[in-house]
Amino acid sequence: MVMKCPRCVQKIHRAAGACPHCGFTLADADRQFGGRELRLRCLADTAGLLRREERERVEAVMDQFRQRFPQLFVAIYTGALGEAAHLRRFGFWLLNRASFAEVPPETANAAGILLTIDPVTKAAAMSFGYLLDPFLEEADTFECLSRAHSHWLEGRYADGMIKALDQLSWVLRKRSQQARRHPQRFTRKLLLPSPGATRPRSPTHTGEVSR
Amino acid sequence: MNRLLWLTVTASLAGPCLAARSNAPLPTWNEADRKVMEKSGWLAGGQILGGGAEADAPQPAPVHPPDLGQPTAADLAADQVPASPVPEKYLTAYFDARPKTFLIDPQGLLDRQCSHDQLAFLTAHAADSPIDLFIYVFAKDQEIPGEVRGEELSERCFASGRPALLAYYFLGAPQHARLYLSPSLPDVISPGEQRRALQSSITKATEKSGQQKQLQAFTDELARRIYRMEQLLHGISNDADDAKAAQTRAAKLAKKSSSMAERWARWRPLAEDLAIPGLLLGSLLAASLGMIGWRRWRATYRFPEIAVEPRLGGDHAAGVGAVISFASADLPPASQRNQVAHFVRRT
Repeated sequence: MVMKCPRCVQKIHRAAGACPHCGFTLADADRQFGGRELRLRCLADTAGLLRREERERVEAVMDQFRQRFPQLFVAIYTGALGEAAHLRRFGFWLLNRASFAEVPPETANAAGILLTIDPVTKAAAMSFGYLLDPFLEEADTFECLSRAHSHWLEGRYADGMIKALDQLSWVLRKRSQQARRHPQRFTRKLLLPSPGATRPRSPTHTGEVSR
Repeated sequence: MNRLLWLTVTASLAGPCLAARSNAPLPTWNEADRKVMEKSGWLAGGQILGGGAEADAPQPAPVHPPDLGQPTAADLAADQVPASPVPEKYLTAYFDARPKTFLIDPQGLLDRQCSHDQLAFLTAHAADSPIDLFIYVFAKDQEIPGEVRGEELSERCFASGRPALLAYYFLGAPQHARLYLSPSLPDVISPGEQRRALQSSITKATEKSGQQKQLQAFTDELARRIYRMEQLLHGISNDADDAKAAQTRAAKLAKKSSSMAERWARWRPLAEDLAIPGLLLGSLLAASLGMIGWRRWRATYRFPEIAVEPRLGGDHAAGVGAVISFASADLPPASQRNQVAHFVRRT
């Protein structure tokens, strides 16, 4: 499983406390974006890209996502961050520091997927928590963003968000089914520091599809 | 009804009797009876039998036609121009084969300019019209030899090729003009239409003075009339095409419907037998598909929670996904994928 540093985008060891290449840690992100705890709505349109009706449409799709993937949640943040490269660090920082209003307390941010859009630099990024580390790859997130690309080019942000979430749903559904059939395939992807380190947290979470 | 029948029968029987009696001598009154009846004031059959007052009336004087005298020599000369036959040396040029040009004047009766104009007009007409117009020019007093018949000429020379209309035109005597049609035309153009065309052309020609102007007027009017004939031809052709197409369509439809009916008749017993099971099966299939779709729509998906060692000091996340730029509509998304750090890009 390839991990990349949010700052230098170099491969890092999955248990690294700091990036071996640039020394980046969460503390650096705290210095850049602030160390305080944030409380946000899952759809935080601070850039004001969405009209009311568009906002409702996007929220409906996010609710649907949550019903389909009860373990997970999706958050969307729009705002000016100054530079496209900051999006990675901001996503990393926000998922670690923010608490989202609509997310139940028992659901940790490790189950979150964050879509960040900067309308000033015209860039978007997708970050995800540790829960999806074995199942989601950078290429998957790029595929999701690609689906939204043409809509965002035309300034139709809501349509782009919905397209990206639809694609994300499709990928995650497929991965969930694969994980149910071949769980070893995903556990093997992790570079285990020691044998037996990978284990299901709960005996009920076996990847099976419940209906 | 019965009365009408009796009347008819009586009339049919009485007819021959009356006819037979018409030859019999008429009855006559004897003098004594006649005098008695005349005294009473009315004599039966008096008018018929010649005993009436009119029989005694004086006969009117016979009316004699007025004496207009005998026609003069000038009158006869005006009406009967002594005809001379077309010189034999020109007969071949006139009547041997289908002419190469539309104006046939081997005798050179028209002057050069008029001949050129007429030929140009007739050629232009042929370019516009499917019916060619051939003008055979003769002198006023010329007579077509008896062995040359226009009908025979049209059948011999114009049976093949484009439909044509042949006009024998006598310079200075348009009223003697004659019209012949190539064999393909008389079926389409009625004799009445032909007669009207000729009459109208003659009328137009006679309105003009001067031989060549008359010929020009004649040709113009004839060309106009040909246009009318073309419309008739075209209409008939269109009607024929439409009728043929409609017939074809109807035949196809009938064939199709009959084949469908036959097919249906063949399959009907089987269809009746299978209708209810098929309906049940279809309903079951539809219900199954609906159920599958509904279950899929309602399905929830879960992931196994695999313990992951925290990285970079983050408790919840360290993985970063893709970054994409949507600044340029000219570049594909893959070209706008941001995969390197900003400080690397700057250098």
